[in-house]
Amino acid sequence: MHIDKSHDACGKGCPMLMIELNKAINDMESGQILEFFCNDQMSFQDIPLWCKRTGNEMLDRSKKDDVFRYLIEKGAGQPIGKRKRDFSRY
Amino acid sequence: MERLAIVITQDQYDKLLCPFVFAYLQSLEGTQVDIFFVSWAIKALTPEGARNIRIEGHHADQDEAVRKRVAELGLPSEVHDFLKALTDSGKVNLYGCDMAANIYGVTDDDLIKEASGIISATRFLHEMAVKADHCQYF
Repeated sequence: MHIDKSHDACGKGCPMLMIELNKAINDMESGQILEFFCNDQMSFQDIPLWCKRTGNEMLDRSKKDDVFRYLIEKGAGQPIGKRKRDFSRY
Repeated sequence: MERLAIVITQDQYDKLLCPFVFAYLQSLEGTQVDIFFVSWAIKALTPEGARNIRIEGHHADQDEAVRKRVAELGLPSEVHDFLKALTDSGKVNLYGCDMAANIYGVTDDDLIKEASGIISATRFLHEMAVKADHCQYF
């Protein structure tokens, strides 16, 4: 698998971990793959939730020696399950 | 989430951190964030007010230590710098409440340049809060 960008956020927790993840992927193109390392336990819940909400796809996650490795494919910017709101009643 | 509306009532340093971080995180995901500073919080939108914001009450003696820890986390530790970081995202608007401005003596001329202006509660409610996917109160 070709990895387009790698980012190490080990030592970072809330909120810098997610800030760095957002910044790392924001300048990538749709379809490119980000390899993201961190050692924050909360990432195991946060990153899958973030992927689902932002329309990015988590291809894989693994853990070795307390370091999590995530492979994330950047989506097209359309969050999964994004709801359409009807403002007409306002 | 496409739009997030946040109402801030407090002008204490520790009570601003949470809404600022929420706004920061969502702005990086492309969410439009509108923050409405009401009551004493409008002071945060003035240079002097932002400078004077502290932790108050029985945690007041922790002010310096908390700021140091915030900086160590990689976040702006000064209120004005945090507001600059938010607006630099291009997704965050900062509004002062018209009623608060009248009560606490703040005018458009007093605002930091990052602020989008002073608006009425009605405008915030109808143009921002009611159209947001989520509205938070701090």
